[in-house]
Amino acid sequence: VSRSATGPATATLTQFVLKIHSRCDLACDYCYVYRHADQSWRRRPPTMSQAVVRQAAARIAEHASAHDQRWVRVVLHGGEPLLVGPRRLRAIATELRATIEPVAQLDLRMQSNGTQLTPEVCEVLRDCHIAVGISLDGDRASNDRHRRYANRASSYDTVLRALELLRRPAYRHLYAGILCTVDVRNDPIAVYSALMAQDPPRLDFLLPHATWDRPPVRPGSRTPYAAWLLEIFRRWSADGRPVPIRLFDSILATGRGGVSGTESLGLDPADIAVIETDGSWEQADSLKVAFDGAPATGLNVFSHTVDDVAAFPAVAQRLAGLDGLCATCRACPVVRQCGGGLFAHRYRRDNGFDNPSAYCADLKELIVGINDYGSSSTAGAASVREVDDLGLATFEAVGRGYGDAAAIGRLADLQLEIARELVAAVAADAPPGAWQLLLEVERTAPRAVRAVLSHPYVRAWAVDCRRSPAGRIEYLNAIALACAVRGGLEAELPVPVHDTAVYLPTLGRVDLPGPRSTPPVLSTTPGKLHVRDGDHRLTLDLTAPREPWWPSARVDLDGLSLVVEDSDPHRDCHYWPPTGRLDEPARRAWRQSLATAWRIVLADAPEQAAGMTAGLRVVTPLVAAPDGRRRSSYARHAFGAVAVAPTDADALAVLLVHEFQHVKLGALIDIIDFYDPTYPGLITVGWRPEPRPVEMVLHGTYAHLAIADMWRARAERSGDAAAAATFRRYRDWTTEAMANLAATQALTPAGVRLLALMDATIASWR
Amino acid sequence: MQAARLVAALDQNHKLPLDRIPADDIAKIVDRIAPREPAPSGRDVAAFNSAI
Repeated sequence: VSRSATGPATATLTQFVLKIHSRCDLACDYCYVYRHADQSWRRRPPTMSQAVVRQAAARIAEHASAHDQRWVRVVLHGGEPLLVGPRRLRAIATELRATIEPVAQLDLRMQSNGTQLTPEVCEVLRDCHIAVGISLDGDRASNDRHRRYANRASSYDTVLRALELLRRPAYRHLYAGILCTVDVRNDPIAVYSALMAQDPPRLDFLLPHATWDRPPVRPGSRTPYAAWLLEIFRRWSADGRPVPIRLFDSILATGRGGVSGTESLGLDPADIAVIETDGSWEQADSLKVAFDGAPATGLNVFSHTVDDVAAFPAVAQRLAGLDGLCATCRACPVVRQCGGGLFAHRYRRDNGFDNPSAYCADLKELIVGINDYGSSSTAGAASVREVDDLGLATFEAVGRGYGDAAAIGRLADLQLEIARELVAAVAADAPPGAWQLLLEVERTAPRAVRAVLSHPYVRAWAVDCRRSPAGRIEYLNAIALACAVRGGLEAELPVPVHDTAVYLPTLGRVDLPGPRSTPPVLSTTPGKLHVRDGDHRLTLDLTAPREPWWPSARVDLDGLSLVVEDSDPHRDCHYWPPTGRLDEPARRAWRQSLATAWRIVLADAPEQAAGMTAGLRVVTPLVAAPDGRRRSSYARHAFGAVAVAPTDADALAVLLVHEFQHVKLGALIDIIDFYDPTYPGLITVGWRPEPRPVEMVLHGTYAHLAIADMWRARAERSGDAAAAATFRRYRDWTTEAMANLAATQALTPAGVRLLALMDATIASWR
Repeated sequence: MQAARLVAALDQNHKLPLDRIPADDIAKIVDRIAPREPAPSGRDVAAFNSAI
C-alpha cells in the first residue's frame, strides 16, 4: 500500500484495503494472515458479501465527499482476492465505481498471488480498470523457498503464466508490478534478474515480517538485509534504474526532501485502513504479526464512519508522523527517511510499539548506503543511463528546454522509425497492393518512403488504424502512391475519398466531387498523376497547380521549410478543429504571417529556432475561436506538426515556440518514462485554476520554460516593463509547478533528471 | 520496454527494410506508443490544447 503524496493536513484516510476473500490457495510459510500471531481469519466469513461491499463503498464516498478528496485508492486484497471468481469480482468493482466515482476519482487495484489469473479474469480486470500487482520472490529456487501450495507443490510456473498474460498487449496496462519478499538466503542478483525478466512496470521489496519478540533471521551478519538490498540497489543503478523500485525510490525521494512512496518508510501519514470480509474496520494488515487481535479496532462499516476510524487512537498515532515515534527514533539522524520503519515491526510484548523497528540497524545502513551512493558523482550519470542510447547530449540539450538541429534531428529519426513500425504493424490489415508497392519503392528509392512516412499525420492515421482499421486502412494506398510519385515509380491503386477529394501525403490533393460507387483509381507516371473515376478520366501535371490538383502549400523561410497543411484528412487530431481547404489568398496570408513570425523567432528565441529547423514540418490552420481567443495545439501522434488559429505574427511566434516545445517533449515521452502513469494525484499549477495530471504539468512547465526565455530576451532587448513582467509570470509558473512536481512521488529518476536540467536553465537566467 | 532497449531497437530497425523489422520489436514498440486499449478516461493526454 502506498502513501498518498497529496496527503491531507487533517486526519483523513485516502487508501482502503478491501479483504474481499479471506482464504488463500497458497500456503506461504511467511504469510502474516495465517502464520503469525493474529488468527482472526478463522472467525471471519471467507468472502465479503455484496452488502458489505456496498456499505464500504458508501463509507469511502461519504468520507471523500466530506473532506473534498479528489481521489481515493482501493486495493482489493485477501487471502487471495481472485478466489472470489470473475463474476463476483465484476460485481464488486462495479459497486465500488458506481458509488465512489460520482464523488472522487477511484484508483482501483489488486494484490494477487497470480494463481487464479486467467484470460477471463483479465477481461474483467480490463473492463473494470483494475491494476494488478503480483507477488513473486524471484527465480524458481528463491520463490519456492516460501511460496508453495499446501501440498508443498511449487507455484512458480503458474505465477509465470499469469505474468505472461499481463504482459500481453491487451492487458499490459493492467500490470501494476511485482512484489517480492526478501529472504537473505537467496542470491540478490539472481532474484533481481529473475524479476526484471518479467518486464514489470515497477518492483517493490518487502522485508519479511518480524517484531522484537520474533526478530528477523540474521544468518552470519548484523545487517544482512541492508547488504542484500544494497547489492540490488547498486546493480539497479548500474543498469540505469530501468524500472521504479518503490523501496529505493522512497529512500531517494525522502533524501531529497520529498515524500515516501511506502508505509514502510518515511514520516508521511500512513493514511490507510483495512475492511475485513465481515465489514470490520482494521488497522494496517501487517499488525497481524504482533499479537492476536492487534489490528482490531472494534469498529465496522455499518456502524462507524471513516472519520471514526481515523480518530481511533492507534490509527491516529500512525498519522502523527515524527510525534508518533519513540525517543530513539526521534533522535536518529535518518529518521525523516526511515520513519521508524513499518509500524508492526516496532512491536515488543512489554512496551507495545514504542520502539525502533526490529530492522533498525538494517534500515539505517541501507539508508546511509543509498544516500552515500546518491551523493557520489556516478549516481547522477546512472540515473540517466537509461537514456544513454538516445544520446546523452541530445537528452541534456532537449532536457534543458532547447536542442539544436542535431539534437532535434535525432528525435526526428527516432520518430520516423516509430512511424515505420506503426505502419508495418497495421499493414497486416491492408490491401496487399499497397504494402507491396511500399516495399518496392523502399528498395529502389528509400528516401521517398522516409519523406512520406515522416509526414506528421501518417502516424496519426496509423494510430487510428491500430485502434479501428475498418474504413481507414485503405489510406495506405494513398501513402504508397505518394511514395511511388516521390520515388519516380509507376504504379496504380484505388484510393479512398475524404470530403470529395483524394489526398497524397506530402504532395497534395485532387478534388473529385462524387457521387461514385467505387473509389477512384490513381496511377503515376513521371511528373504525372492519372485519375480514373468511374467513366471520368483526367491527367494532372504535378508541377502545375491547376484545378482540381492542389499541391501542398509549401513555405520556405530562412532555414525553415514547412507546409501549411489544409488538406490531410488525418490532421483533425488536435484539440481544436482544423479549417477546411484554404483558398489561394488565405494560403498567401499564412505564408506572410509565418514569414514574419519566423523572423521574430529567430530574433527572440534563436536557440529554439535552431531545433525547429530540424523538426517543424507542418503548420495546420485551426478554426478561429468565436470569442477571438488564441488557439494552438500539438498532437502527441503528429511529431513535427503544430496547429494554430490565425493571429498576429507576434503571437504566432510565441505559439510556434510553445507548441514545438510540446512536440519535443512528446517525442521524449515516447521513449523515456518520466513519471508513473498510474499516479492518480493532481498537481496545482499557476496557469490553470484546477489541478492537473502529471503529464500535463510536465508539458506545461516545459513549454512555459521556453516562453519565459523568449520574453526574457524581449525584455532585455527592449527594456519593456510589460515584457519583463510577462517573463516573470512564466518563470514563476514554471518554477512553482516544477516544485510541485518534485514533491510528488510520481517522477522516475529520468523525470527527476529532466527537472534538474530545466532548473539549470532557470538558474542560468539569474 | 526500457528506454535504452527501445532506442536500441529503433536504431537497429531503422537500417532494415520495412518487411524485415522483427515482429516482436514491432509488437512491443506499438504496444508502448499506441496500445489498442486507450488509457482510462481522464488520463488520455494524447491531444490537448495549449492551455495545459
